[in-house]
Amino acid sequence: MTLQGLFWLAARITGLSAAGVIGVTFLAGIALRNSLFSEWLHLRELATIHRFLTWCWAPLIGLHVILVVLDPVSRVTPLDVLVPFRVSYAWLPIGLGTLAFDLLLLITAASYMRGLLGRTAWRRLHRLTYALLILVFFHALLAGTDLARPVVRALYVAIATFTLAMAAARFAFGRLATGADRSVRAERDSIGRR
Amino acid sequence: MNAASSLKLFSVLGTVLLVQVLTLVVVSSYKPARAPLQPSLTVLPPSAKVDSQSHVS
Repeated sequence: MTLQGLFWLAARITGLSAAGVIGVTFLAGIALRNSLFSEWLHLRELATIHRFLTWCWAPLIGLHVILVVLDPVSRVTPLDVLVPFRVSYAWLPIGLGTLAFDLLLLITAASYMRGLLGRTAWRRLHRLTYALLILVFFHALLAGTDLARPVVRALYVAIATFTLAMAAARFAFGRLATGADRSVRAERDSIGRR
Repeated sequence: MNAASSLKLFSVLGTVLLVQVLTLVVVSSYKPARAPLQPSLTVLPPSAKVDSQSHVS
């Protein structure tokens, strides 16, 4: 196997794995504030998993991006990693991946600067995760042939199905209020009474 | 070990397991590029003269 073949294989493995872990992180996040699961899910543990999984997907995404840039066949430059739709080869699948990477950086940075941004701005930015997951799904679907493999397809279909079900439950049953939400509501009520 | 540490450990183990499964799947589908065929081209010196004949029946 040549070095560029090794780069290509490793880029596919890290990309697929990162997409799987990001999917699970999303599921943990959406279940966290879902009224349907509030009775039987341990929210503190779920929040721990949701936050900690960043340390699992971040190295995989970093490796995926580095390996794609190092692979001479993919012809992706370091600038293409941040600016979407610049590449001549497979511009749509790679461009979707670039957009997903930009969104991922934005959402992750916003999460670490939550105190600085304020709750409302952070929550609005965090909702971009829905768009991120759609971009990741289509990047994986269009950029490679691995989704034709039954194991990979089963993993992706399972994550997509759970995500749709969780999102539908969230919209149908409402968002579970946090302690901060309750205190803001109580403050508003007290102002209204005055 | 408390619950949070156990969850973090299982998250890492789950990620490693996922990477291993996907490595097996991707590597098993790897097809090395076919070796190039031996070129059947003979390079002639510039002074060489080639006479060709075509036969049409």
